[in-house]
Amino acid sequence: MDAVVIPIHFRLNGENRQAEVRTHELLIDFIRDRLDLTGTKRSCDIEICGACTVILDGKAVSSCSIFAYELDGKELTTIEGLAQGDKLHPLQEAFIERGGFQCGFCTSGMILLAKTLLDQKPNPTRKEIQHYMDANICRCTGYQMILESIMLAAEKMTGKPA
Amino acid sequence: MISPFQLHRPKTIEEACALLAQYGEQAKILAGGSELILLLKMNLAAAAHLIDIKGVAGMDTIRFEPESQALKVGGLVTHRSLETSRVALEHFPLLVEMENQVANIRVRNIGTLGGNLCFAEPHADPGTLLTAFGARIKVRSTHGERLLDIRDFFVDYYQTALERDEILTEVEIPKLPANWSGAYLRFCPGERPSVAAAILMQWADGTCADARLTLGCVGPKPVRIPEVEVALRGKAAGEILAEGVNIGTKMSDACDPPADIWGSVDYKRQIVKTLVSRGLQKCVRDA
Repeated sequence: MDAVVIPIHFRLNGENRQAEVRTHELLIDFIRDRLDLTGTKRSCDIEICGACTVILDGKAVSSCSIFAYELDGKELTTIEGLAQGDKLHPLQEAFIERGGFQCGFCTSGMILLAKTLLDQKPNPTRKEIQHYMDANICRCTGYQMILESIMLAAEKMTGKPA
Repeated sequence: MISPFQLHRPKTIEEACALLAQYGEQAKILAGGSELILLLKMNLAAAAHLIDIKGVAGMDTIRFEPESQALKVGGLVTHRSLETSRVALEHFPLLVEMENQVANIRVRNIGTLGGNLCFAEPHADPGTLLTAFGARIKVRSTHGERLLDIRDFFVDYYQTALERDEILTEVEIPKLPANWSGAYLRFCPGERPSVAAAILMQWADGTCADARLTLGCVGPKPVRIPEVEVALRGKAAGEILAEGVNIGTKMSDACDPPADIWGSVDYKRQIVKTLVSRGLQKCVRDA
């Protein structure tokens, strides 16, 4: 069968966009190859590792296992959309200050996943962070500093220690 | 690489059923997609027509129906919606506790309970607990509706009783009578449980009046172990605690797990024994 192409309208990191996608095109391919936003990483490709995490209508999802057409009418946030100009998001600052990454491959996904947690629960306990973040894998095993970074970000964002 | 397909986005269940009847084996239903898209990517499934039912109205609700005393979970309700549902928490706290453990938050945000059951992967959480609850599965086609006991819905590894033209529309979970306590325990080295146990017990004056013991992931589908359920009736809470390991052994003897990537037969039996005795402790504690 020939590829079927459909038009989509969506918001990308705060801007209105439109595109045509093939029905069988995956969101991760659309983001990386068509939008040229390569901060979203492909790793396990089976929804386990979280390297490809993006935020779709406020929810963390694996972009490796969603069709691009599902973007239609929705709001997509990728790691490139977090900073406001030169001003980094508090999570990004905290990851730098606490050394929340080693090789950096999982970092985009970790930060975006953590953002969805702090958006729902600005002051999570350490245990709550652990349970929520166990979705994503850091293959360098730098979990301790990732946790510390998220706790620091929560503190920065609320003014209260996590 | 996924092969191209024709996309259909029905807005009503009637429309979805008509499309499925029209395209038959050439079509696949997409609810959340957390299982189906993996299969499509691995070429373990193919669809010339994809029927995306996410837009079907009225299938994403969770409600408790007082007349039937049952929780009605629409076929498109995600794991995350159940996990955060106040209605579910009020009537079925154990269901919420189980849903909170399914895979990971990204999968729970997208994956649906209905899709999970239709995939019939034995190494999944919901099927085991819903078998203990005696859930009923409502399915629909252009010919009408059927209501299936979950034990008849699951047929074999990755196989359900769904006919080619049927769509799961609702999961009904009947509320337990008063004085029940329960536990859902699993051993989960990764994303999916390797062995799971769901134990529900009814109490009357400190003794067990009734029990539902279900093991998951030890065969093609979750299994109740009636001979051990019967043996528990009439036993005092203290007696059950004292015999916990023994009861666990009876459960592990009664099941027939395969040796596979999840472990050897002996290993799985050992885990069954441990999960069951811990589950009994929790049931007694919460009695």
